[in-house]
Amino acid sequence: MEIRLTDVVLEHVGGVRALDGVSLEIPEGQACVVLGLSGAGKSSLLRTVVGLEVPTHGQLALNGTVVNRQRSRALASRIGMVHQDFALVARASVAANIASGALPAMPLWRALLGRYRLNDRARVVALHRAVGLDDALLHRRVSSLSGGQQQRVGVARACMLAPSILIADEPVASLDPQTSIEIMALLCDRARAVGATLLCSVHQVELAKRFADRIIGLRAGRIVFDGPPEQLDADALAAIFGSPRLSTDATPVKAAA
Amino acid sequence: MIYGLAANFPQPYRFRHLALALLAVLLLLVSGQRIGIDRAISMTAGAVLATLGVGPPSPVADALARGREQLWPLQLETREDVARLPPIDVGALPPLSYLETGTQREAMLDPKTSQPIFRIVRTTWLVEPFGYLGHVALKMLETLEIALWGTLVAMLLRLPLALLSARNTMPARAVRLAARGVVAVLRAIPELMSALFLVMAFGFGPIPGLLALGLHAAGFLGKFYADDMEASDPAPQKALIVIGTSRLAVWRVAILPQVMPQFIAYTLYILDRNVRMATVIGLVGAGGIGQELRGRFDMYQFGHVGTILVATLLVVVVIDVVANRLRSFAGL
Repeated sequence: MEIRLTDVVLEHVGGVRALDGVSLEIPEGQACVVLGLSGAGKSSLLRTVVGLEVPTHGQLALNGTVVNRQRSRALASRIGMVHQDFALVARASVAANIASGALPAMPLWRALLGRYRLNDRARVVALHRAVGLDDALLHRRVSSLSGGQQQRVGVARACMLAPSILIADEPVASLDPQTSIEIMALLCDRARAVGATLLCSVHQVELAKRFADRIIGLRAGRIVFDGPPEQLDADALAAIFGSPRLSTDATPVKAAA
Repeated sequence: MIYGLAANFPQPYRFRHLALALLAVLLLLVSGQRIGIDRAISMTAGAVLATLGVGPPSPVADALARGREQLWPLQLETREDVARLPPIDVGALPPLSYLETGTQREAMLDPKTSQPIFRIVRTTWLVEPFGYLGHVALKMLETLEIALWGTLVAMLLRLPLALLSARNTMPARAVRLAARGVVAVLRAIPELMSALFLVMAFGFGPIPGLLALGLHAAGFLGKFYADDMEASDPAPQKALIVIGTSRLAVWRVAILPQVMPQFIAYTLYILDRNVRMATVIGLVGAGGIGQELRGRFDMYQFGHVGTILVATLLVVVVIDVVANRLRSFAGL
C-alpha cells in the first residue's frame, strides 16, 4: 500500500511541533528506514501513519484515501506494527500472542472463547517457524523468552493478517547488535514475503544503510535527508545528527576499542 | 551557604505535630466520655478481680458464669412428645432413636376456680440422641450454601460492572461514572442492613441471605477488578486497538490474562468472607445457622445455643484452613 503525507504538522499540547511540515510519498513495497536523534520525530511520524496520532494540519493518505481523522477497521487491520517494547501480553503464550494479530478479522465470540479457526492456528504455527522460533516455545509464556525472541513474536503477530504496510517503531532499540541485525533482516524478509511497504525507525546508521531501500533523515520534525543509502554521506549524516561526532549516538564507539 | 541549607532541612517533628497530637487526645477524651470507656475499664477490671476472688462480686462476671453454666451441657438430642407427632410405627423408628416413657408435671388452670392446678401426666417421647446435632449440621450446610451462592451471584454481577467501570474497557465517561456509582453504593451497604430489607421482601430463609452477600461482594469485586484492569500494562492493549480490534476482544486477550491471578485471589477472599458473614446474616432472619441461633437464643434454650456456637467455631476454623491451603495451592 502506498503512503502519502502532505505537509503534515503534528503539534503536541503546549505547541511543541513533533512533525513540522512533512511531505513524503512511499510507494508500495518499498523498505523505508527513518533515521534521527531522539526527539527528532521518528516515532511521531510512524504513530501518525498507524493512526495513534492525528495530524494537526496536513493530509495523510493511504492508497489514495485520506485518513486524517477516522479510518475504517478494514483499513486499520491492513497495517501491522512492531513496537520498541514488544507490546506483548507477558502472561499469555507465544501462540496466543501471535494469534491476537488476527483478532480484527475474527468474530467476537471466537475471540472471547479463544477458539481460533484451524486456518488461523496453522498460520500461527507457520509464522512461528518463519520468524525463527523453535517449536518447543510455541506454548511457552512470552515472559520466559529473551528480548530477541519476544521481538520475533512481535513480528509474527504483525504479520498475522498479511499486512499491506508494516510499521516498526525502533524495533531493535533494546536488543544487542547481533540480534538487531537478525530482527531487521527478519522484518525486511517478512515485508518482502507479503509485499508490504515497510516503514521502520532506527537510530543505528549501519542498520539503516544495510537494510533500507530508502533512508529518510528527520531532524526537529523536518525531513533533512531523503534518498537511497548510497547517498548517505558525511554531509547528510551531519544534517541528520548535527556534528559528525554525534552520529555515533548509540552505535559502538570505535575509538573506545 | 551550606549552613543556610542545613538549617532549612525538614525536621521530623514540629509544633504542628504536637498540636495535632494534643487535638487527637482531646477528641479521644470527649469520645471516650460519650462511649463510656471509663465504665468499660472499671467493669472489666471488676470482673477480672471477682473471678480471681479478690474483689467484690461483679455483675459482669456473674452473667458470664451464668451463660457458661447454661451453655453446658451441649444439646445434642431431640425429644418429642409422641402424642403430638403423626402416628409412628414402633417397629421402624429412625436409626439410633428410641422411645422413652416417663412422667411429667403439667400445669393447667382449673376450669371452675381459675386457680392453677398440677397433674402428673405419663408421656412417651421419641428421643433421637444426635437429632439436634444433625439439624445443626443441616443448617451449617445451608450456611455454606448461602456463602457459595452469594459468591456466585457476586461473580455474575461483577463482570459487567467491572467492564463498564474500567477506563480501558469503557471509553464513555458517563457510563463509567454511573457504573462506578452503582459499585460504590453496593459496596457501601453492609450485608446485615441489606439483609434486613431483603427479608421483608423475600421472607425468612436463605434467599435474602445469598442476595445480601452477593450484592455487597459484587460491589467489592467490581471495584477491585476495574482498578486492576485499569492498572494493567497498556502497551499490548494499544497494539491490538491500533489494528482495529474490538474493545471486548482486547479485554479478553490483552487484559484478562494480566489480571487473572488477582481475580482468583479476590474471589477466594470473598468466598472466605462470605462463609463468616453467612453465619451471622441469619440473625436478621436470612437463613442458615444464624437464624437457628437467633431462634434458640430468644427461647432461652442455651444448651442449643452452645451446640450452635461450637459448630460455627469449628466450621469457620476448618474453612479458614482450607482457604489458606487453596490459596497457597494456587500460588497466591
